[in-house]
Amino acid sequence: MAATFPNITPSSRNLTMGDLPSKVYRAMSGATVRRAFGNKKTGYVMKLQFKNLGDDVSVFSGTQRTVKEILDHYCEANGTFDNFNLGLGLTKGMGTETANYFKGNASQSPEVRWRYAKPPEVQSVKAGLSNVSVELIGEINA
Amino acid sequence: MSENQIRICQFIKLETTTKPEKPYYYQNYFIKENKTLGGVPYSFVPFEIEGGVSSLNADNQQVTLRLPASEYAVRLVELGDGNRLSKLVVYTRFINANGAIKTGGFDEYYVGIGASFSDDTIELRFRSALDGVAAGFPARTLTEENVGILPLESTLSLR
Repeated sequence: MAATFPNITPSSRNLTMGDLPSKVYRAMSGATVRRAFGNKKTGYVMKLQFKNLGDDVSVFSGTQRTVKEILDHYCEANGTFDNFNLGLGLTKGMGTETANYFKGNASQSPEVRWRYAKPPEVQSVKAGLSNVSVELIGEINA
Repeated sequence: MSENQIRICQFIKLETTTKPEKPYYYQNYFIKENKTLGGVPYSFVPFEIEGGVSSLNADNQQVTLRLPASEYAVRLVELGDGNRLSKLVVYTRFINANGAIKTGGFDEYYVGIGASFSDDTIELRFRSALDGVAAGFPARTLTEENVGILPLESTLSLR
């Protein structure tokens, strides 16, 4: 498992819950039969936006994290290969119970491991300043 | 009213020729759980089974057991003589909404005929344990004396 995601508070966060792995048979009549293939939900998605981060140097005299830290973490996690824990910053602004649910600290927490769904995207907005888009996926490890 | 949601768990018992006294017990529904069936614990392995189970001619139907190409699957094949002549029992059981195994179900028996590797999966191939006897098969021994040179493969056609 790679190190925890850097403690950066996102500018926006979009969460999609996981679902039971299942298939639907839909008859010509419209009647459906659903078959479940497992007893745990998987496929959680967390889309994050980090706006106006300093590329290499913090724009707030060292108090704000940088784009480089996210990219370093992506490299450390071997891209989309390894999983890691969500950092404190990623759940900032959430209610405590919801945050604990997604961080795996609640009794009903999904038994998923988080990893990058795809490489982070960096959009330069001005010299030394960028927006970063990150998409994480929570899946069950076999 | 019939149910329109079904949950099916397949339990398998795999007995290799190299270690028949130590069968593998796996199930594919209860993720990261051990489930007991008939007093035996079955551990979770994400396998899937695919293939025909019967036909009108009672042919020797082929069934494929697909596993992810993980360490235990490679070991299972390599230490199990390439799945040659291993014995597979598939117990199909229905699960209720509370996650309990319903009574009853179906048991099927197969014999291993080999395995194949791909980049992300390992396939163990099996055939049904009892070969079918086609209708009209002559009730006498098939020898080179009465039919000539016999083919080496299993494809025989009676004309």
